[in-house]
Amino acid sequence: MYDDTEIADPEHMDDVTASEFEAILHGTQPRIRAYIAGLGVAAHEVDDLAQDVYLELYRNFERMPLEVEPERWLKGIARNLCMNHFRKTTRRKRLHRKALGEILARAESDLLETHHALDLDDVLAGCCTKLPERSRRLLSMKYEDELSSADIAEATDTTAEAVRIALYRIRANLRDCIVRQHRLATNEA
Amino acid sequence: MARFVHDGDQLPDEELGRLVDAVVDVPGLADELRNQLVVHELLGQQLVETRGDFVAQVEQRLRDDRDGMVGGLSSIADLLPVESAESDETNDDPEDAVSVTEPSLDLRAHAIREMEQWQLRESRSRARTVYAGIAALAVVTCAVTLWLLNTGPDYGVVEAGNGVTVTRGKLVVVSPSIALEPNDRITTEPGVETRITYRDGTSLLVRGDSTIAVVESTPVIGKSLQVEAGDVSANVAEQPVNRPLILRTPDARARVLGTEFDLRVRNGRTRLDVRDGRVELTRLADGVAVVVGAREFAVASAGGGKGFRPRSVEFPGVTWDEVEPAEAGLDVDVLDRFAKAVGGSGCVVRGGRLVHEWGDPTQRGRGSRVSDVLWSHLLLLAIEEKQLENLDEPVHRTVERLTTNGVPEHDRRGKDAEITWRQLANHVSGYGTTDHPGTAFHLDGAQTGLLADALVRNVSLEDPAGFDRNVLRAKLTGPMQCEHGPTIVGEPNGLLRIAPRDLARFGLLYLHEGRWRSRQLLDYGLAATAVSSPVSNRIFPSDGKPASILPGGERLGEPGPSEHAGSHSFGWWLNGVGRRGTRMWPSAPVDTVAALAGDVHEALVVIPSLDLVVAWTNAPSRDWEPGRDDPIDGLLVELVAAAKGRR
Repeated sequence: MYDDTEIADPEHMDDVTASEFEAILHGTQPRIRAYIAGLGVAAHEVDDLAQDVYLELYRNFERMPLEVEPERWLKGIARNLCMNHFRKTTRRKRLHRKALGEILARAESDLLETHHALDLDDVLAGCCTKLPERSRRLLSMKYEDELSSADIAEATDTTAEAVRIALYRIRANLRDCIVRQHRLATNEA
Repeated sequence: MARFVHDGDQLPDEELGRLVDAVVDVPGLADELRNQLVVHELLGQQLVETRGDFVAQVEQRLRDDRDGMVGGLSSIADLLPVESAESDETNDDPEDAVSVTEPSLDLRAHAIREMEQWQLRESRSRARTVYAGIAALAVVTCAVTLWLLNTGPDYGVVEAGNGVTVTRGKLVVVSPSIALEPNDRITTEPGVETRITYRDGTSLLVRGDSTIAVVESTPVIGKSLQVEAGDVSANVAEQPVNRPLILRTPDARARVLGTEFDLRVRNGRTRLDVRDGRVELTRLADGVAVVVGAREFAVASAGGGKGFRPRSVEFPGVTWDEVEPAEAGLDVDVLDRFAKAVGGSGCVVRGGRLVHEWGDPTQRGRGSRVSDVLWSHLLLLAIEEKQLENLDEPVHRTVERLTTNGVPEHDRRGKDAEITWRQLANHVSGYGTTDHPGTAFHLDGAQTGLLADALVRNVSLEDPAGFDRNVLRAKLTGPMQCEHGPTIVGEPNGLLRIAPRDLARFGLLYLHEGRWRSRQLLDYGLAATAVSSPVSNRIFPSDGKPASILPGGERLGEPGPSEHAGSHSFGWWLNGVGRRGTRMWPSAPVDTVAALAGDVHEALVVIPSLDLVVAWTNAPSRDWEPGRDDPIDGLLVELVAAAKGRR
């Protein structure tokens, strides 16, 4: 999970704080990015916003209360940034986007609650191996090859809508698998 | 939701709005959507190559921040006000109160934002000048217009657009919003909706494939429309007692004082469902009128007949509500005779409640031709969800192996390339015989097997267990809260194994035209199509020879009768009229429909006019052929007798 790369700004922070920031960044970035995506931010904008979150943390690191868990603090920053981000879209879409963002912010995502017991990356990889070969091929075309639903449909002789629905179901299965692994891990802990 | 997850930015505003409404209205949907977005993101992080270096990207941003972007930061601060978390009205948690500057020091994005802000300021400045000049004129115009509108007749305003046509005489009115006039006709194409709104707040949602004509609407007569065909939902503001809203159909007239209801007009039948308030519905055939109250429905048929009365819309929950036969208006002795005559295990449902059972109605059957109606339902659902284009699309576009390089191994004549989904579901495709598609009726398992395999493997991209879980349960048996684990998994896969109690739920779904509680599990029009599209009497039983089917293909279900008698529609048996002019089941009401095993050991019978659903399994086998010693008619005699003259 951690690599040897040091955060490239030894002069801005003292060593201890820089080290702490690095640990927080490495330890939280997958979930913070997932949290932002879960608020309905477009996929191609998630990482930009996530970078802003960590930049904000970096600039105001001393403001983070000691008793607050870093990931919770980061989610607060992320939520505010996302709502600002939605305000910048066209007026009509902004209202929908903002409403949806607020609804999703209140919605439950048991996936994001699993972090204490699991490395989400490893679990997701494990769950993917349990998928049928056809489903794994679909995921590969969508995420590794970055093909559009229309392209995948043409390659598999079906319709774009069928592809989207199939991927929807695959993600639902993965979600169930991750939650099951979390329950197992929690019971064993 | 699937489209939002993949292409949220491309979703049109209207669809985004509908998504917002849906996540608000449907419990659990927001959670589901959020989980989908989270998993989508996690998969992207893990599998998309360019996303693997996020930490390095953050480090670069930190370097930029330290090295040269401080000046840029202050210029941003000049142009774009600091957003304070305190100003965010949704921010209730003090620990979330983080003062946030405008994000991103990315230079390109910064430049674009600066330009956008400048353009916005310029356009606002210009607009202010124009607005001031228009404002004074607008005030005067509005005052005059309002005075005119509020005192003149109100024929409603319709939102016109793609797929919505307003015809005035011989002319088509072209405008995004049209103030209606008497004799205007509004038609909507399939899948397109529009709304008619009135000054008093009354609003009518006109669904796809509908035709409405404006009759007369004055302060004396009241609002009046002719619904010639289609589907209308209404939210009606309180109307003056002597000036109700009137909706006429070819079969009925509804007087509305103030309520919410749905009106469906199709094939000589008008169904009224009242959600709130009361509506008087008059059957034009004989002038009989009934008052339909909240959570009740009534059906007026062109041909008149019994059964025109308001009935409660009830659905079972996790378990069935039970009612004594007498309370349900059924004769218990006759019901006992019926059960004995059928044998096996079964149940009788009336008004959405369990009235009578025999044997063990919680035990699943072994699977039969009854599965045909399930596969037709799932085919129609695939069309509604746009996984398939339409019923008349060639199957080979989805099942490529039907035509391989133009000379399929199993079909040297290449005729199977012409098979359509409609032909396959109606057993007139010729698949498995030498008959050409659309020319002959042949009820055997080959066509059902191909349909099931195509829907599972090619449309849903699943295996049988996955399909069972992700389609059958998710879209049908789960929402209906089936109790006894109906499944298509077994030997062979694809035959529906279902207990009578759960089969009865499926029957109730079709009694209510695809609706289960407040959800339409299948579009009303498609559900109606399933039970009202009999194979033409011009198509004769097959006399073709057996032919090979695709390698690995299954023949699902036992053979059935050779004759369709003008009564076979998407796997359902209707009480239609055959080639000789005789009705399928003379003893039963005209609107009786049934799903039947080839030997009737398993069956589902739905009689909407009697509000009856009956299901049985594991009964003794019976030979049957429409029009000749049909045992079904004999059984239905008893069933109808149990309900005759009651309630």
